[in-house]
Amino acid sequence: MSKKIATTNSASTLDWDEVIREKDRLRVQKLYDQKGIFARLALGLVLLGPGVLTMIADNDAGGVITYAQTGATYGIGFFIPALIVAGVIAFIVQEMTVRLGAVTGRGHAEMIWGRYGAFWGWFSLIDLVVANVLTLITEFIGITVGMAVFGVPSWISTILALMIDAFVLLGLRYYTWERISLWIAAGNLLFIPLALMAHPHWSVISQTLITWRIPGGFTPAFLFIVLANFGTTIAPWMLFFQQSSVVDKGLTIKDIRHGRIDTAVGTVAMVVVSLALVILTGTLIHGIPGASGFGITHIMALLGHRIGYIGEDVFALGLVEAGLIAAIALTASTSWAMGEAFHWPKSINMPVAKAWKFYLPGLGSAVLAAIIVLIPNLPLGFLNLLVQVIASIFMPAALLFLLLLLNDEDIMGCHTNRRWQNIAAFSIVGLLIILNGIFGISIFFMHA
Amino acid sequence: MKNAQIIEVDFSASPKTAKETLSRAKVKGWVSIAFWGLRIYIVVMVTLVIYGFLRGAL
Repeated sequence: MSKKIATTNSASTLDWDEVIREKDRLRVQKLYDQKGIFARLALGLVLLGPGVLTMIADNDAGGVITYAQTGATYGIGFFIPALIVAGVIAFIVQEMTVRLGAVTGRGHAEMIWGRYGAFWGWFSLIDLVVANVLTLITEFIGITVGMAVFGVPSWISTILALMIDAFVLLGLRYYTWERISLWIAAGNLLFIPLALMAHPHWSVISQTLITWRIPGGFTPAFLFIVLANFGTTIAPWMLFFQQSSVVDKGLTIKDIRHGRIDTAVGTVAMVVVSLALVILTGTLIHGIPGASGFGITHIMALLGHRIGYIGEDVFALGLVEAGLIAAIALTASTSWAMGEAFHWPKSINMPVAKAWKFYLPGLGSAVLAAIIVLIPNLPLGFLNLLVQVIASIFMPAALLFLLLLLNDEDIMGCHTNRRWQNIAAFSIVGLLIILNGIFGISIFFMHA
Repeated sequence: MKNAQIIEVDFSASPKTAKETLSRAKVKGWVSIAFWGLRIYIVVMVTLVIYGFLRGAL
């Protein structure tokens, strides 16, 4: 639990965090050397982390609310196959961050700053930090809404969430931080039994995979929801977070295969949970008059009426978990990006006293978000729009840099994108850029 | 034993480039076109954001 370690004179020539990272690598290497199914299983479990955390954290409080409202509004239909496609897109993009991190040993911010200069470095960093702070606000709001179901006042929920976030970041070394975060992330799976409790019609769900049925037909409002879902499939922080996480964990070229498996496991978990949410509200809430306008508190209360109060409580717990795991990821993402950009210490393995510059931005962003959440009558709609607008401006740049770096033989060597990977990646990036652009523009036409 | 283990680690497995200074990439050809496309996209989107604020859409 402690970040203190003993070092010999030989090891002291290395940076503090590198010593710990090499110990982690040694543990992994021992598992590689062992034979047998249990050693393979242990290796797989040890190497699970960055991919699962990134994907689960993408099902954040805002995501949970969006999926629940999507199911309530549109029921079982188009969004079932669409979310599966979104998962495939997320996997293809995030897999590239695994390779980039494992091959270069550098985070995304450091790569942009180093290869494309200070202008694009600052552009990416400012966008990321601002978007992270705004998203953190939405996570804390999700936590307070969830905790309110159990009668906890919002100021207590916010301070508790902030304390957990700060403890995990400041008090743990990378491996422990990752394990604790994975346990918190496991709470995201709470939505799966909830969906089963709704007794959905599986035949209707399976039919949607063929028909892509759009309940209510193709309307401007439907298009807006589609753009929101697809346009935010890959959030900018995800690229930065997973690459930095891969680097801080100490993954190397030989771990890329496991990194892919980790990302695939995370993708499956993310998609299953998002589908569970749409199925849950699509089965129990859709069809009730006015369902398209229900807020999350109303949806939770209705779930309580339909499947018992355990349903409302479990949903609320899931919402709290979703906000908490995303807050942990966003906080770390901010610290890593700042550390990488300015060549500060940039590892969760570092003790606070030796790397306060690294921890300060992440912790500061969480404290700022928590303070803002406690302001009465917060303009939530405005904040949500602002997050989406910033993401829509920033996302094409982040994806472009990712593709350029993955095709850069000087840094990637033989691990550059293959032809089929580039075709898939450019198609996805093109699609996301178009959808982000249309989404950004549509916000103005929808609200003007 | 922990200290001994640290010394025995094979550092060849670590990414070799992480300690080297990154050199600036040469931006030319289609990469240059992509960057100009990105600049135009950003200017258009930022203009829309400012327009949105002024019109009260945001």
